[in-house]
Amino acid sequence: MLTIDARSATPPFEQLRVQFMDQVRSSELAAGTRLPTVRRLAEDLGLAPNTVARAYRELESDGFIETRGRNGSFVSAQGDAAEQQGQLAARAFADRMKQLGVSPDAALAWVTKALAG
Amino acid sequence: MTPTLWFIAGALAAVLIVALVVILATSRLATSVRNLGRAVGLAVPEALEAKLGSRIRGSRLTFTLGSLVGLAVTTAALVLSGAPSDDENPALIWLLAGGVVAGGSLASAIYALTAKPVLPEGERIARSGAVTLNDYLDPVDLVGARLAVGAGILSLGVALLVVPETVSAAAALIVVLAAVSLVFFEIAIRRILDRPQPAGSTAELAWDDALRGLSMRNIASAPMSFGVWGGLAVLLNVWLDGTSPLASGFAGGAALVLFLATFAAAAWSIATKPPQRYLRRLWPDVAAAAKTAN
Repeated sequence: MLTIDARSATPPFEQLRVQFMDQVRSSELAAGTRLPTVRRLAEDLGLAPNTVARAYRELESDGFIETRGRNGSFVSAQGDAAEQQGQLAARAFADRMKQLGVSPDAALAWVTKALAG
Repeated sequence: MTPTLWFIAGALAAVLIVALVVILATSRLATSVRNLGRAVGLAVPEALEAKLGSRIRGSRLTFTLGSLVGLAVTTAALVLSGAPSDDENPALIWLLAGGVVAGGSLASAIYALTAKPVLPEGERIARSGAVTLNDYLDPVDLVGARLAVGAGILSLGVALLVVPETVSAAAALIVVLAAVSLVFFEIAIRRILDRPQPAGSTAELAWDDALRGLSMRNIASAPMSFGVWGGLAVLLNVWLDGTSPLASGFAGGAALVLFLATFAAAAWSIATKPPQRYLRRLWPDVAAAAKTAN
């Protein structure tokens, strides 16, 4: 979740940038996750589109997100090549489990078993 | 119109009017919000009760009024057309019921797309990941609507090619309405998905997710109903006509398959609780906590 406090001394774009960075670092936002469009996030948070666009630009230049043309902005994989591939595979696995309606507990149990075997 | 059709129209109108009275009864509002909370798997925070009550009432009122208007328009069209005088044609009854479903569906879309969101004061929250239609609509609704319309169009197309004289105008009209309502459904659900979700708390955002999911399901009901009813009406026309034994036998079998598929989809829908689809996809922690509590 993203929270914007209009009464805070920190500018909104900075609040947004820091929260996105924290969520990517903590893997709350997994690699490959699509971000909301600039217009949509601006409307949701009651911000000017330029404010959100500025936060996205800075996140992109810092390597946290990437823009794939008209498909939108996505969370970039972090770390070395192996970590990046692992994060992308985890994202694909999570998406597939969601499609199949498998609960997170069951999916985690299967992965743990597969990794142990 | 025949006496049977007048009776069905009257019964539908009576049910809808009673529903309107219940929705307008102030004393029932809090209970109604709590009941909906149980259905969608969410608690009703005291701070949100009035805001939710007003939104839920507005949505239900619009839906029921839309259904009534749909019934009135269909009845008027049947009376003015002067054609229907055949009690044995099931398509006419389905056309009447379809008017109710289409009216409610259209009204749901209008409400979901035009209701002005109440902007929260102070802190604002938003989801950091994008949402998709799959987060709100179960495949039984999303794919089911397309399959139902596809079945209706296929039935009509084959019947018009092989035994065109057996297809009634009412059955063909239902299939055409199915196709139109599917186009409307595909546009409306995407517009709803693009609507902003201004929220001051996670509870408010979760409730908005729940209500937009319900609106999308209401809109899906029109193409699903018209598709299945249109397909069945065409197939029953061919089956009952009996001039071509081969076509008649094939249509009877196809009608049975369509009926059983619809029954299976309805059973699956009840088992998977589509109104809580959003909860499992977007709020897995809340869904898991509710499951543990139960």
